[in-house]
Amino acid sequence: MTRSRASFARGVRDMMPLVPAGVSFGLVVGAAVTQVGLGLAESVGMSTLVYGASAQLAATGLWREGAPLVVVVLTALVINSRFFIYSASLAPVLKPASWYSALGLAYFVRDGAYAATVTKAVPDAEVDDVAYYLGASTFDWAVWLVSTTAGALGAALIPTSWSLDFVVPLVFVALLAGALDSRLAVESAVVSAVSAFILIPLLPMQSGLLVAIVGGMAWGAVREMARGPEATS
Amino acid sequence: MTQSSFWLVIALAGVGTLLMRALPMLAHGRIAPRPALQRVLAYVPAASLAALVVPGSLLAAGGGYEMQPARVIAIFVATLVAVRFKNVLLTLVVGMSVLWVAQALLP
Repeated sequence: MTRSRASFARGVRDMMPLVPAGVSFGLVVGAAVTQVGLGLAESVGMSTLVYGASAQLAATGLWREGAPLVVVVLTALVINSRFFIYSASLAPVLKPASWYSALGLAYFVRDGAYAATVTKAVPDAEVDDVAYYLGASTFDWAVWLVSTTAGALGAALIPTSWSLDFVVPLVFVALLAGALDSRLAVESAVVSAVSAFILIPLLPMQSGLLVAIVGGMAWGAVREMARGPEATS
Repeated sequence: MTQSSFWLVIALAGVGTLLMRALPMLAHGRIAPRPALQRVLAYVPAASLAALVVPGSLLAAGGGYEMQPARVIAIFVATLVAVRFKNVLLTLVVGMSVLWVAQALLP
């Protein structure tokens, strides 16, 4: 009992360094939803149901530009597909006992809590992994809900002359720096960014972003395959 | 598009995302994702974040897409700061400052 409580608290504590990034991203995403003429309900609905910062922001932007439903949804799903591998590597750690606990644990899977659980809780035998994960992930979720809601409510207060929309690419660039953990990740990012620059104005139905992301992923995977498994990392 | 289609986006993307999150857990880790799939998905963060930087920085929306020098300079400096210091707040502060200065100085 005390061990799981302490683990839960440690999970929350280990997420603290991520709060500034999470809050700035949350404010931006919440503000983006109301700036395209939608309301608080849409902001909260999207944050709870889609629950993935980049996917929410991309979907909101594409929707504003009038992209077809299938392009908006596919782009969001491709961006969120990383949760599938996070969940696959968390499953043997969390060992959910029933389908509803599996569903409950899975709902909260996101980058920060996944990384903290795998790198900090799993190697430490003192820590109750499930309690740690629940602490980290539910705290992450709460921060997200509060900050996107604050962004949605506060968006109207910001003068457009401040060019605060530029915060969006800045947050992405800041997070990207953390994802560039190998040479091939860098290559994949370069291919994806160059493709986006060329294809976004070129391809019909706002599909350029989606094609660029898939292209960058494919580049990384194909190059990794060509190099052989032992050359990775 | 109307407001109702945004809820359709939320519903479809929400169900799809929950499925991707839940399937490995529901299978108790009994079905591991195939190595090929795992290899492709490992590049999702780098590829998606890099592509998402482009609209609003290198391609600014203004009746079509255009390159605005101030935004190009600011995102270039911000990229260097982000890669060097890996700090989100610092990247935001430096990026916005460079943008405002460049917008004031450039025509």
